[in-house]
Amino acid sequence: MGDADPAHPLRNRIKVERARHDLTQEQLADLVGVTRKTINTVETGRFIPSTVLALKLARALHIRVDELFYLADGE
Amino acid sequence: MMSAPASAAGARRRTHRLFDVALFVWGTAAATTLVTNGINDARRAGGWPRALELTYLAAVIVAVPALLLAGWAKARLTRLGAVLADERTAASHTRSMAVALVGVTCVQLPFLFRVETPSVAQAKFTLAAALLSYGVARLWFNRDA
Repeated sequence: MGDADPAHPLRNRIKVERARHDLTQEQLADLVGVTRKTINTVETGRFIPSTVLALKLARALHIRVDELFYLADGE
Repeated sequence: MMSAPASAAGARRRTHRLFDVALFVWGTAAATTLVTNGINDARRAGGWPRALELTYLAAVIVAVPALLLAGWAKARLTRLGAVLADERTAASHTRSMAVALVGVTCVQLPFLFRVETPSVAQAKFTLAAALLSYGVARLWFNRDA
């Protein structure tokens, strides 16, 4: 599954920010201390991260957490 | 020439795949062992039927090295600094345990229809159902990840 789960309103910009920093999923996973699969499932919207993980991801990608994660239109 | 971090990442990826495969093979072989043993107990006959005995033996022969291989791969992954568990794996473990509970309950259903099996066989079927439903659920929750 490559797209976010349409049933859940949470969206993210991880893929875009990862590309901007030229990071692979594995490298980002190493930076925040999770598995590559976790990065993949968060990125595709199949796993909703905890606040702690969201903050760690935002810090690793040098972006504010509310810029990295946002709600879909109408939510 | 590959850089040290890239080669370490490659080694981790290969070892992780080996760990996943070894664990899958162990789970399947262990469940087969339990089911074949349980069937033999439920038959309440003296000797093993040839095919059942061969299946049981093959499963034991596969399960033991697979478990050893999984243990070795896990130790190597730890040495390589790989993350083996995080909040997603904890979440999928919890959900898989719930699925395993349903699987275990389903194996008890024949009792409600007075289909009786020796309790030693029932215990083996219950364990096999737990193992299989947990494993299938983990695979499902990790699909495409």
